[in-house]
Amino acid sequence: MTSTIPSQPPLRFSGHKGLVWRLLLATLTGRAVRISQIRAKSHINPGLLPHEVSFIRLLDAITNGSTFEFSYTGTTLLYHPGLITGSVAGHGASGGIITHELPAGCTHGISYFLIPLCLLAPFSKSPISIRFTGPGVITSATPTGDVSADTVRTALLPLYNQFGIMVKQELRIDRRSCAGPGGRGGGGEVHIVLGHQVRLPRTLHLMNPGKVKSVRGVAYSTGVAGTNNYRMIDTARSILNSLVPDTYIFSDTSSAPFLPSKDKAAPKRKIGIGFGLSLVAESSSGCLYSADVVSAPDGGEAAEDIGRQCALQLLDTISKGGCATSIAAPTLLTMMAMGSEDVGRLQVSKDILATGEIVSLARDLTMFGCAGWGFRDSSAGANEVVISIVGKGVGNVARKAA
Amino acid sequence: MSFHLGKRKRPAAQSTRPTSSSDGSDSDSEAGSDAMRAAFARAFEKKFAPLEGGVEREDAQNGSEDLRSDASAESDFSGFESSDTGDDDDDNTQPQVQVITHTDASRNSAPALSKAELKAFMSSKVPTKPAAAAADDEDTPTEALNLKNDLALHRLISESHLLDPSKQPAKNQRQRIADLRLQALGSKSSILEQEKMPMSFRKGIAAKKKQKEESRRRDARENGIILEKETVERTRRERDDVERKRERGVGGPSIGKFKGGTLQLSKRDLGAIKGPSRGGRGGGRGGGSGGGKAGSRGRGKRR
Repeated sequence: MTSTIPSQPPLRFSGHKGLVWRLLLATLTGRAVRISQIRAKSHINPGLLPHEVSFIRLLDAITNGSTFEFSYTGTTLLYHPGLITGSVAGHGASGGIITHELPAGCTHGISYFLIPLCLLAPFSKSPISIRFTGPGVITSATPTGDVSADTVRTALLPLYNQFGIMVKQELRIDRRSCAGPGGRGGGGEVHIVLGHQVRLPRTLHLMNPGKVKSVRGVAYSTGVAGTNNYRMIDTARSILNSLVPDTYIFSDTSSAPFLPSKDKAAPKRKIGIGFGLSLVAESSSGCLYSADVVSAPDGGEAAEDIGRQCALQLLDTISKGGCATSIAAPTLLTMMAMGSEDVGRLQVSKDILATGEIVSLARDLTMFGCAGWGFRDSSAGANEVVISIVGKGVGNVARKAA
Repeated sequence: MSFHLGKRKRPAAQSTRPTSSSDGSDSDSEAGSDAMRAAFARAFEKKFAPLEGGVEREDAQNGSEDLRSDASAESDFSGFESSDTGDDDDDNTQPQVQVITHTDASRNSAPALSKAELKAFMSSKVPTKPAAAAADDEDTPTEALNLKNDLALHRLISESHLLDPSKQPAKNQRQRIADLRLQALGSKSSILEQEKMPMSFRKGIAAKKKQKEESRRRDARENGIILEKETVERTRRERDDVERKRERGVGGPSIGKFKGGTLQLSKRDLGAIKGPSRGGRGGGRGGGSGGGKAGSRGRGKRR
């Protein structure tokens, strides 16, 4: 990237952990990064994995002027971010939609791509509209720890309301798919539209978790009988209903996607068979707690077990307290750090704060020049901490002049 | 020692009595007596209230429980009474009523969701509640407060004259304010104006109004004050007539219509020329159809 600004030396990171978030922060702040030692120790497949490459391609598609340089072994990556342009015609978008194909070897769910994309979208120059297709799209939760696309829509996208980003957001699951055999690949189709761009996100003050008032959820089954849905729903409700009477879980049954395979005997085969449950609890102050459980790719799990696990996982998430779940916290904290130069506050549970993911996020943010976080004990309880974050005021570069 | 009248005890005592008296006699006579007793009971029950323990009597005839109670009765036989030891035993044998309700928390309370809410959750859009829109307005509380204050100030200014106790009676202040606001919104008439009243009242009001106005003008004239021009209030009829009497072109005929080189006179014109004084018909009163003639008559008078 040839920029008129005297370019700062790239920030140096090592390891594949937090790769996505580092690339995301680099894109948002405009700092170049050099990530080395990406699975350098692995003899079988060193370097980037298919899902990471896919994410880099996605970044390339929605930015203008980004450059990626890989080393020969693929263990080192140098990234000079460009401007986030979104889905602009002439930059890979046709009809305002970028089609992004995921390879068959992808082991991560679609939320792996959607969550960073949602973070980039508010700072984009034009609306982002991307259709994810291909043999690697898994819309369900995955054993690798990704949440389902339903959870992204019902538990993560509403969080952006609090930053003043609320309109023209859409996440359509055109075709559902669970993880394929061995947890690889799917065959789903997802279309995401993020049409609300802002100059600067609003400063967030989220200090009151409130009380859980309702539970909603989606039970999905692809390629298996719809009774699995009702079994999951029944078990989950038998646990949750006595605690939250306002519980409603929707059922979505669909056939498994057909995908062409290399096998000559069966040139097309069904992939991504399974069922799962996504639950979202909403508190009186608008905080969202989510849980996601899916059947194993090899099967062998009863629908009742999935329902029970999911309900218990939801209760566990709620019992941790705070205003943000471990899924939502990185998104909220990053948005706060990118916000206006004002102190935003977020109350989180110590259990969530003390995870490696959040700690490394905090370190990465400091590396990217964000101010350090302030902590103080919350008055709500011994297990809660209030994080104060001063925004970097990065905002939307494309909207600065306007 | 407690006097116990348990349900279970009584049939036991009753059933033991025959056995203890007959001491293993033939069961036929016993069955016969029991049948007779049952018949008596039925007859009694038909006439009066149902007997207590009537059903148990049959039950107590057979079964191992009967034997056990026999044994206990023989050990300490005392009619309706029972010993302390037997009492506990008796309590245990009393059937405990176990209530089982078949209600499942997971099924009974399906929340009543509105269709809009259901749709909102399962659509591809981000599920938002209607409350979110309300919250949206709340995020600019100062703006809303400013608007509210503006309105309050505007009203205070425009309505403060009503608050002056020296000028207005305080009693229908609220109505007056409402009237002002309605008129500001475009109401044609005042709500304080009485629509229906006897004609004499209305005439009186009109006369008073006229008199007031006249005296005001007279006073002004006498004092040399120039007032605004007097507006003539006309009735609807008069107003219509004024509108009808429009300027004709110059050089036209004073009567009739000049068309195609001839002066054409309509019947009405002829009537106007002839005039109303024709015989003692009382100004044409009672002549045929009223409407048209009345119109011509009016016109004739004016000319």
